[in-house]
Amino acid sequence: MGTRVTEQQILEYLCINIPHEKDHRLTNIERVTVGWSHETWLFDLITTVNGVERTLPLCLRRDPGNTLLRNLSNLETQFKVLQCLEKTKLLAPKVYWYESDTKILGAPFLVMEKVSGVCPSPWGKNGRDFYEKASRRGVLPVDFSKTLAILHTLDWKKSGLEFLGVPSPDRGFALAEINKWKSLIDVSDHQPEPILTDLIYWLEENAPLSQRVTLVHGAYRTGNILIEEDRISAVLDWELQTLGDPMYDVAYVLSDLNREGTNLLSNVVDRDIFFETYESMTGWTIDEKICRYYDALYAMRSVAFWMSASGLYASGRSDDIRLARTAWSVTVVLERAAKNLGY
Amino acid sequence: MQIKDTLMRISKTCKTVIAPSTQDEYAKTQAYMASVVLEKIALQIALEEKHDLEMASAYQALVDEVSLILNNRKYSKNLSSEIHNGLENFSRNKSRSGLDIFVKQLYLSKEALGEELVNKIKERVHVTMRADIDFRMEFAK
Repeated sequence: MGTRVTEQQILEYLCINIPHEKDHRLTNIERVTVGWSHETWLFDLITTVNGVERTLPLCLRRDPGNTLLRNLSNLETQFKVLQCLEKTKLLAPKVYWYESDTKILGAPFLVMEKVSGVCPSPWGKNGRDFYEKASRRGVLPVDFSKTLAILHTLDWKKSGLEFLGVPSPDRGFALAEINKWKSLIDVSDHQPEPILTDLIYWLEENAPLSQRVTLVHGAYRTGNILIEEDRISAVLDWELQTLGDPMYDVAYVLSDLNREGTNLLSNVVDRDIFFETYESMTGWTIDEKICRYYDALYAMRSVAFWMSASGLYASGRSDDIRLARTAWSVTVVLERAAKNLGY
Repeated sequence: MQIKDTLMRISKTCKTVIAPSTQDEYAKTQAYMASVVLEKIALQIALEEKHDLEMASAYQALVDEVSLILNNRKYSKNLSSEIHNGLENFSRNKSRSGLDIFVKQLYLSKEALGEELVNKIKERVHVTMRADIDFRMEFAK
C-alpha cells in the first residue's frame, strides 16, 4: 500500500537540504522490516566538504498513513518531542528535518540521527540471550533503571514539552488514556467484545489519582532502546509519549507482557535492582497497586492495538499479513484481562 | 475434502513450499504468516459449529439464571423496567454482541440497581464470558 520511496528521491531531498556540501551519495542503506509503525530507512550520507569526505549516519522515518496507531501517531509530534529532548540529559536521537509535504516522498517524513548501538528484539532466542548475558554483567540493568528515572525527572516545562497536553488533576491522566484507546477501538470497526466493555467500565470506575505529572514514554522496554557497550545510547520509539503518571511507565517495566521465559523485568533487570535504582534516583516509592491498575489499562491498550491492526488488513488499508494475524491476539489479551479481573 | 482440510493443506504449502523458496525477506515473512493465519481460520471453522451450539445453551442459561435473580423478592421491589428490558433484548439476541449491550446496560443501571445486585448479576455474566473466551482460546493460542 502507498507509494514506494527510492534511494534517488531521498538523495535529492538531502542534496537540497545540505547545499553547501558536494558529491552527495548514500551507502549502507537498510530498510528496517520489524515493527508495526512508520517505515524506517537507515543509511549513511557521504558528502565532500572542502575536499574532505564526511559521513553523516541518518535514519528516515515515513508515515504511510496506515500504521497501527492510525491518527494517534504523528511524526510531527515525534519531531517536536525529540527537539525538546535535545535540551535534556536523556539520550535520544537528534532530529534534522520534518516534512509534511507529501509531494517529496509521498507521505510525511522526518530525518534524524542514526545513533550507534544495537537493539535486539526481546521476543527471539538471540535477543533473550543477549539481555540475559548483559544482565549478568550488571551494567545494563542499572543503566536501564537509571534512564527511566532520568526520563521521569526531567523538567518537561522547561524543555517545552507542555504542548503534549497537561492532564487534568486527580484521575485525569488515567481517564484520558482510556479515552484515547477507546477512540482507536471505535475506528477499528471490530465486533463488540463484552469482556472489553467490562474491562473499560472497571478501568473507569477504578482510575487512580496521579501523584505527579512527568514525561511518560508509554513503551519503555528492551526493544525500544539502543544499547552500546552495555549502556543505553538512545531511547527510541517516541510514539506513545504523553504527560502523566510516571507509574504508567513503571507498570510497563513490571508487566508480564514484557518478559518471556524469565523473571528479569523487561528481560534484563532484576526486580530488586530496578526498585532500588529507580526509587533512589527519583526519591519516589513505586506504588505497586497503581501499577497493577495500569497493567489492566495496558491490556485495554493492547486490545486496541490488535483491533486496529487487524482492522487495517481487513479493510484493505494494509497488505501486511502480520496485521491479519493480530485478530487472534485480541482473544489472547482478553483472556488474560478476564483472569486479572477475577474470572 | 472438508474446507478445514483444504485450508490446512494450503497453510502447509505456504510454510513448506512458498516461504522457503521466496528470496525477498519481506515476502518470505508474509508467506510464513499466511500459513499461520490459514491454520487458525481452518481450526476456527472446524470448531465453529460446536462452539455456536455450546454458547447458545450458555446464553440461554444466563438469561434463565439472571431472570431468577431479578425475580428474587429481595431485589424485585426496587427494580426499574430498564434492566428487565435489557434482559429481554438479550434473550432476543443471544450472541456476543447482545451480551455486550447487556453488560453496558448493567453498568449504566448501577446506581438504580445497587452494588450488591449488580455484582451478583456480573458474577453470573462472568461465567458465560469465561466459557466463551475459553472456547475461542482453542484456536487463538
